[in-house]
Amino acid sequence: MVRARKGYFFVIDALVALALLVIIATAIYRPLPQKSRTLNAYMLADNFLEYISKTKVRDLPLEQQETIEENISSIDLYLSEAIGELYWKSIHGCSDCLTLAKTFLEEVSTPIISPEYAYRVTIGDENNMDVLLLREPYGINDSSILATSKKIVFVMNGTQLVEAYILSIEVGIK
Amino acid sequence: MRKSVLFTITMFIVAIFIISIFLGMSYKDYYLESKIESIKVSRLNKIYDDYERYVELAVITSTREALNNLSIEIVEKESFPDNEEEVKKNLTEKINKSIYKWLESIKNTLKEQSINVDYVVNDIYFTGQNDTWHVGTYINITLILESSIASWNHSEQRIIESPIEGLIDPLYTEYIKEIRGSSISSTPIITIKKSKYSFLENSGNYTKFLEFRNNHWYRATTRAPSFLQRFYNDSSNSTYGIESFMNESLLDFPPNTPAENRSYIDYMYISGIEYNLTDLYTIEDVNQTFRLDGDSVSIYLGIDADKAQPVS
Repeated sequence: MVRARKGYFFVIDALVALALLVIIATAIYRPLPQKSRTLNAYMLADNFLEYISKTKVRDLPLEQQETIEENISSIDLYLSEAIGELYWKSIHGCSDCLTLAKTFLEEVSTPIISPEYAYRVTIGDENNMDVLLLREPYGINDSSILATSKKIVFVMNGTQLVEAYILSIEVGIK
Repeated sequence: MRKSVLFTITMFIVAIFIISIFLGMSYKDYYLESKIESIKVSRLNKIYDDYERYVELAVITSTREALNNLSIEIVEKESFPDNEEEVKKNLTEKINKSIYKWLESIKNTLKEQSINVDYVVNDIYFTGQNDTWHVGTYINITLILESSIASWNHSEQRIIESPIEGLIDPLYTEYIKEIRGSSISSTPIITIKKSKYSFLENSGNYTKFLEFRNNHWYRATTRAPSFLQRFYNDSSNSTYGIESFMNESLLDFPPNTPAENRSYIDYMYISGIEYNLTDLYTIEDVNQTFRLDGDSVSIYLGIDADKAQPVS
């Protein structure tokens, strides 16, 4: 009777030990959770949008300011507004302005965006969307996660509204 | 017996440990999911804020467009509305026509981006002036933004103030067109430029006077008509009055010759107030056709009043 009871206890011991091993191994070798990667993508898109919405051209290093200062109305514009203004000018006759907007965005984004992720920045209205920046360590359209953050960008003439565009930032994670 | 108690306690501890690991993993998933949703909602909230700001800018733009369009109509027809009510009614009609163009435009743009927004303009009208450099437009609007994770449906009623700087002065511009007998395309358009100096409490001097004159600035003064009064040719004084100088080169346009017996304060000159030449002054090193009355000399030249000489 005593022996049978001891045997019973040892089986439970073994099962508990096995369960523990499985749980610990799962916890250790569990791949990076998908949700965590999704969160990263959303935060990257959001942070980048915040950066270009809250940084003024005036606050950039001089060499970056010089890229566009002659083609925008003021260096007190936020980066997103400056990009919007260049885009508006490109539609209204300035042949270099779209290239300038792309170059400028490339310059300001290089130190900020992580090279391991795919980025796409687009701007436009209901009629047309143009790609301003595309970073593709892998095809962005093949990403398993594509987080998007959007903002309305105003183009102003003094106090008057001239046009409004949607600036969209997509971050793709494979 | 002691072994079994020890074993039971161990089992409990192990069970709690296993449950904690599972709960911890679930909580982490839940936390990440809620964080992602929170970012999505926060971003939509910012788009809603952008949408609200857009509406405000659209009202300002529509109001300013309406004011400039009315000014051009006045100058073209060389005829003013009869009174303030007529001006307000006309501006309200123009604002109503213009605002929907802006609201539809952003609605379509956002729709293309899979963001559903809508609006209901319950009421919108021009209210007039509540300060010297702004005019007001009342709007009662409901803004709607809907997505799969959150929605906003918010009504707001408020007066949006539009700055008058940069807008056409209809009184001055109409007068110039009338005396030159020209078409509107060849008429110099006079716009409101706010002075750096107030010229209040004897703060005027010769240097400020020259800067004010050369830049064709306007200053706030309670002796002059307001910006709005200039739309119905009312030269009476207002709490929100503004004045500038007449530009003698614009007046000297044959067959018109600049008047000799008027002060060159814009509303005084245009309304035809006449002075004795002994009460008018010319200013040193300024075109001698330019004249100011005694009060204006005190205001603008202040401590340098000796730079003014009586005309005769």
